[in-house]
Amino acid sequence: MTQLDANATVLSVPQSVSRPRIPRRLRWKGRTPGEWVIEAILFLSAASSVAITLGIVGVLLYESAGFFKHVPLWKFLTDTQWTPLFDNARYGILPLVAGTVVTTVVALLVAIPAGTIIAIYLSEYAPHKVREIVKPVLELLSAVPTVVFGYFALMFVTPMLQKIMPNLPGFNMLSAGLVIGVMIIPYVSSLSEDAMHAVPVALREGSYAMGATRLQTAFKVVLPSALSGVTAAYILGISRALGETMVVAIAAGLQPNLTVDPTQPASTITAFIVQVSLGDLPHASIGYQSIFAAGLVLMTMTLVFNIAGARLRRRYRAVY
Amino acid sequence: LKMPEQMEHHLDERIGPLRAMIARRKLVDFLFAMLGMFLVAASLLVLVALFGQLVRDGSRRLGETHLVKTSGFAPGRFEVSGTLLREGAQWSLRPEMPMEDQPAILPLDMSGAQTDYSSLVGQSVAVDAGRSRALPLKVRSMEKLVSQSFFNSMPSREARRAGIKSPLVGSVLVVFVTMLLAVLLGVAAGVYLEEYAPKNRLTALIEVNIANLAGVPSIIWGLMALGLLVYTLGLQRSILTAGLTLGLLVLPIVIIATREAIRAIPVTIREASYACGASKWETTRFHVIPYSMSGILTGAIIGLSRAVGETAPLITIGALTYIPFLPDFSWKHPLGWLNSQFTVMPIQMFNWISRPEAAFAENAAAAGLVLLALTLSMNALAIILRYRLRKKIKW
Repeated sequence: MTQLDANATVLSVPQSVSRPRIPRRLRWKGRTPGEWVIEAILFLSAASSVAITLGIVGVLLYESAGFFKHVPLWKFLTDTQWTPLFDNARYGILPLVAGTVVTTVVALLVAIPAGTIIAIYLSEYAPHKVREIVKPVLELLSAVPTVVFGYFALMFVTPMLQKIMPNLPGFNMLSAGLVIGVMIIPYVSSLSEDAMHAVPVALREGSYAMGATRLQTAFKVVLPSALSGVTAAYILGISRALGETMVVAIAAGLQPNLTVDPTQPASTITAFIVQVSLGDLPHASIGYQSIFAAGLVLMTMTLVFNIAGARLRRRYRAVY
Repeated sequence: LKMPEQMEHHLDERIGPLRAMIARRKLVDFLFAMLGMFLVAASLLVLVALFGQLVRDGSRRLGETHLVKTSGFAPGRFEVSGTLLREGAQWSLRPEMPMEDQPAILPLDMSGAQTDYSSLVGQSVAVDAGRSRALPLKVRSMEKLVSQSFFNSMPSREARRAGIKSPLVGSVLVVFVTMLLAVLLGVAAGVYLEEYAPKNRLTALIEVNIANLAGVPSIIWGLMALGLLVYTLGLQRSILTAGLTLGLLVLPIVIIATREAIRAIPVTIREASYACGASKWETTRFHVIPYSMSGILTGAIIGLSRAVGETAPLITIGALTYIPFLPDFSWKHPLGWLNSQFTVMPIQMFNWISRPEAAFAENAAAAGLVLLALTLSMNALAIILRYRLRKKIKW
């Protein structure tokens, strides 16, 4: 059981142990009141998770509703300026979405190729012992607190990039994105490796018997067979990158900036929420409500990716 | 028997390209394996570089001590601390932290001092110079200083005096609350879903819901806590709020770990217990939970290590404040600390990162080193626990 495994089930519902079905009229026979109370307590604990979800969605919707009373929705979605704390406030979410998308894309450009290749290497090439050691050690990479990664991006990656690109500003989306990319490599590699490992050996043997090399087998047999699990790994990586907060808040600057150039400083949805929370905003003010509207957008983006991912998974699900 | 020369040559012509092709394919295969190894090494190298950067920037700060006064006179307009020197009737001070506009040794005018301070010669002292900024400093009073380490000092506006006492205590208290909530609720929920839940729509809903909660970005948990806990329930920006927020955040991790651990226990164990006349709860309480304990523990440790490093949700509830004090504890109100204001390690580190002075970056690196040591050792513990568990139990 690892942190990664916990996230692996984002899209899949664990199968419960099958138990004989007890007829309804017999279900409560022979149980003392104590047993009944305990079952009720356990049920309430499990059901509390539903209440938590309702709480999250409710708070986001309620506070955003207050926000959208002041700001029309179409203006929120089309305005190109995001300056909610200025006197002349403009509320266009586009700059924040652009920042989020750019850092996520940079991160994925690192994490998806690297994570996939590492997964193929571990599953198809590496000896068992290497696999057993490398996997948990790689997972340590995702156990490092994000604020420490932020420090690393600002103090190590940015100065290093500035040696190559002298015009790079001190705060930029590139170094934040690169560091997030490295951070989510273990999510991608570990889950993809699990999926590839589950592909039956017979399929590989069939491929080898036809004279294919390991590389051909990996890309033409194993990867397509494991595509459902690999997609889940990618989706998890995307959600992590979208919701990553501290690295961008520290290393990418906090100025909303509508650009697709990763060498520019820009704020993201998450960084904006942090920036507002640093100040002391009065409850129920428009600035306070704006972070919930931003949060709602982030939540929607994550949800869209997860739903799309669930569809893809179902499409590619292989039954051996 | 010998092949005719011509035929052999003919065969070579045919096999040659095949051999070359096989060699090429093997080479590509080999190169790909090297690429995989290189990427693994590169990822681990990032971890090493991260650690190296923190050690380079922050290790000096960890071992360093500095001087503080613990009580005594109220701070004046101008005060300096350092070592008191005396040469005949001439008094002077070697400042602890020389500033640019200060000479290396400050002459002191002791005429304003009311007591005899000769016993303090050679000691570290703080000098209260009142309003006079002119040199030599006209001393009003003087006090002995004690040295303090990074771990034992409060956050401060002066970078080299700042430490991580209150953030460290805050982190421990917050994680304690987190653990109580996440483990109690998580194990109960996991046990229900594995042992009790009937197969119906409601159970399916709960299961899908828990899986989705694990994917909610952490900052959204912070918004939930801000709207619900801080304002609707009126819990303020307290240790209780922070602990509850992080407890809910790691709840899915604990639930999923519990379920996996319980699922590994064979049905025969339960049947044996029932056969002895145990009730369902007795079976769960005396067999299922104890046998899955180490699996649950592993999940809980992983969850807590995540809670230790989590920053964003706590910033969202407004925890980024200057807290140079510990939560007060009294036997009269043993739970009073729950309502106290707090700061935690990652937030203190973020605060130091966002300051422009270089000295604060040093503090941030030192705090990062402590934080990294905490989370990595917790993860290592979990890995060892999992490894030993896998070796020990064979059903």
